[in-house]
Amino acid sequence: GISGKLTKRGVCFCISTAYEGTYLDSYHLDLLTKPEVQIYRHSLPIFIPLQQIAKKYLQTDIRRFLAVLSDHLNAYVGRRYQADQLQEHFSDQIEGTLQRNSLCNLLVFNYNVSSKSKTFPFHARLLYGDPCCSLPTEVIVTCAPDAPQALAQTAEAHTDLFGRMALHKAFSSFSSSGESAD
Amino acid sequence: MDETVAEYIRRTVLKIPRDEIKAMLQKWGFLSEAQLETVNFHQIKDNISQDVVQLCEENAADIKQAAVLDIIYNHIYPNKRVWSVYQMSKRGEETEVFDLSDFKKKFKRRLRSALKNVTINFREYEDNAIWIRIAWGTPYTKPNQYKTSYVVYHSQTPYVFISASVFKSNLPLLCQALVVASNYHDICEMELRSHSLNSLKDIVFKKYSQNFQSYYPRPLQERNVAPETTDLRIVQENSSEKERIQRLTREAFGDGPQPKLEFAQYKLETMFKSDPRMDVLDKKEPFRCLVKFSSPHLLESLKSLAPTGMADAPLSPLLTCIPQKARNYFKIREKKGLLPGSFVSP
Repeated sequence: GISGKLTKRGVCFCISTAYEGTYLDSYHLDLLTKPEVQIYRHSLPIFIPLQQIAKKYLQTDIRRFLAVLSDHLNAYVGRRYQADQLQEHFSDQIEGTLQRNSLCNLLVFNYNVSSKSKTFPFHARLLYGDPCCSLPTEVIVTCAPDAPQALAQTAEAHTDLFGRMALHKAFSSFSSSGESAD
Repeated sequence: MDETVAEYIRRTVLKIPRDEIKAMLQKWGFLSEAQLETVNFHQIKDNISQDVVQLCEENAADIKQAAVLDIIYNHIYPNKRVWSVYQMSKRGEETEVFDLSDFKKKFKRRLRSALKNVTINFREYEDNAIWIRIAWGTPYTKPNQYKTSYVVYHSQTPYVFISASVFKSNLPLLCQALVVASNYHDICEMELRSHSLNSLKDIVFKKYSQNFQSYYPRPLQERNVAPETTDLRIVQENSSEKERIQRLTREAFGDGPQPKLEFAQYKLETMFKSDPRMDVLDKKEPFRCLVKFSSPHLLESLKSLAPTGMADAPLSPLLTCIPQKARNYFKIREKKGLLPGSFVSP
């Protein structure tokens, strides 16, 4: 949600974020209203394209500005939450650590469907091309070219799965069925 | 194992406080737990390092592995180096998709295309910080492992933290490699330097305490109005003044801890203003003067100036603007009124 409070020289907004019922971070934005609307200070992560969004909407449509900003922030924390959950609950099934970045819009990792095996036959690359979306726009899941047919089919199924389901939930769904694709 | 590698490991271990050596070697992960068990970490450091070198010999350590230990050491003790902040800029406005492997590849390729004799190591941390260690050589000599530059970069941000080495001449090459690897266009040094890497990050990433007014309930302020014994004969003479100072200080500095800077430097190029009858300076040119404030913790000491009665509140904005302007080096020239020179917009 977004709340605002009038200040001496303008307005201070607080944007709170959540992902699927879990409250996450809150961010502040202190705006001045005279002589024109400008950003005085803020607590947004530096990798959120604030200046870009401000250039487009701040002067003309504050509501839209806040809505777009809120979308960016909520999507970011949503992506981050999924990556953190994956790292926390399925670390046995992931080779090493997840390769990610500050915006969590590219995830690359090798994984397995069960935690019992020592190999990680699947390679996944999830690209989140839409900054306002917490689901990937491009999913590539591959396995070795000489892998058995069953593995290749699983890879295909997962390509589809990761594109429409939260990452940690997707892992829950195929990990509990206990397939050992070894 | 190369003798130079052995010596390098030995010296690196010697730098580590004795109580931390085992933990750091475990973080390094190059020696097995079983091997570490054979070392007596209570003996004098000289002997510990000799034992460690011996074990590294068994595992045939090379310079790349030794370099990892150095990164770990510098990551835990970053305040032993001086860090400068650089800001990159780009033309396009597309959302960046930062690919770590791509970044590393491009960085190494760019650096190595200009200088073959470099040792480059990367290490990523959970807070998305990418640490890069570069040991510089010359076209004719091997990399000198004792002359290293460190770079800390958080993906998809325009800021790079660099602890340069003595070889300042390599800085342009390093900057170029960073720009190319991170898909930016330009890079320039900011006027912000400190030993405290984390404080520099706090300043440019705006993680220092800023007082935002909001409707969210703040934790109850425990000020000096705890229930004291109310003896009505005791009266606070200047309580309103005290409150005014507290309010102004809080507005200027916020509630939380300040980023840690060791100094602020103001280069004055302003005209000396004196009584014309005194005629102190014949030539009408700017009076050049350098004012440097230093402190183990500059911003905390500035914050305490007014409350302790050593300065009037409000403090000069030249002092209070430091975290917001993300600079601690200023040039003050003669303008309409006293304003800091060039502004760097964070």
